[in-house]
Amino acid sequence: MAAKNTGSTDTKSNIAARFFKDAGTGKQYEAGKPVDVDDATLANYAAAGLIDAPSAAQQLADEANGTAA
Amino acid sequence: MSSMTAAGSKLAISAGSPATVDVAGASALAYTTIGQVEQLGAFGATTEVVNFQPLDGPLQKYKGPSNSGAIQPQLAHDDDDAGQTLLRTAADDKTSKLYWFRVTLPNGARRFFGGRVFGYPENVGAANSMVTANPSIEISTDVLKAAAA
Repeated sequence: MAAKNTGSTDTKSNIAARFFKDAGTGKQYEAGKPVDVDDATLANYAAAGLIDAPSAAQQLADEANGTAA
Repeated sequence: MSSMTAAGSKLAISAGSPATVDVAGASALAYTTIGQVEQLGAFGATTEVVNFQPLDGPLQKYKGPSNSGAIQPQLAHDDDDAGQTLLRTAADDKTSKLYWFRVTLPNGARRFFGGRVFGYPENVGAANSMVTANPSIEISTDVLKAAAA
């Protein structure tokens, strides 16, 4: 997977699969709540299984907003 | 560079792959800090000694292949830590995918390397000790060194 960190603040609505915390940022994420971080950070969380795929409804909303993956 | 203690050092992991295997490529990745690390240990390249003993003369020693080594960090196990969770994912990964790691020294200098995690054994000791883990990260690239950003 080619990854780049552009420092972008673009975010997509992705849902925390369970409670977790990031020791680097000090942020905590509640299960079932959106995780709003940059794409590269989100890729790490997703690889760790901490992110649920967005629902079909969310994907439609993202597409409508032009923020779909 | 002045001497320093290890306090404040950090270990972080990325599931991404650098566009180029150099400091620029590795530092462009997004890393997730691994929490609750107690110590990292020694890592970095060592070169194998290749010996040749001529019939007439002293033992000759040549430089063979290099090995960037491994780290077995000791950490307090934390189910909720994102970096530890990605580290466990890397340990469970049945493929040969390379994960990238960043060690940040207290002065901000950084070390980057790609590696594979060969296990995440947990250690449950005495009642007056923490539940720890000792993952084994085998370094499979050169260790790339970068000054503080």
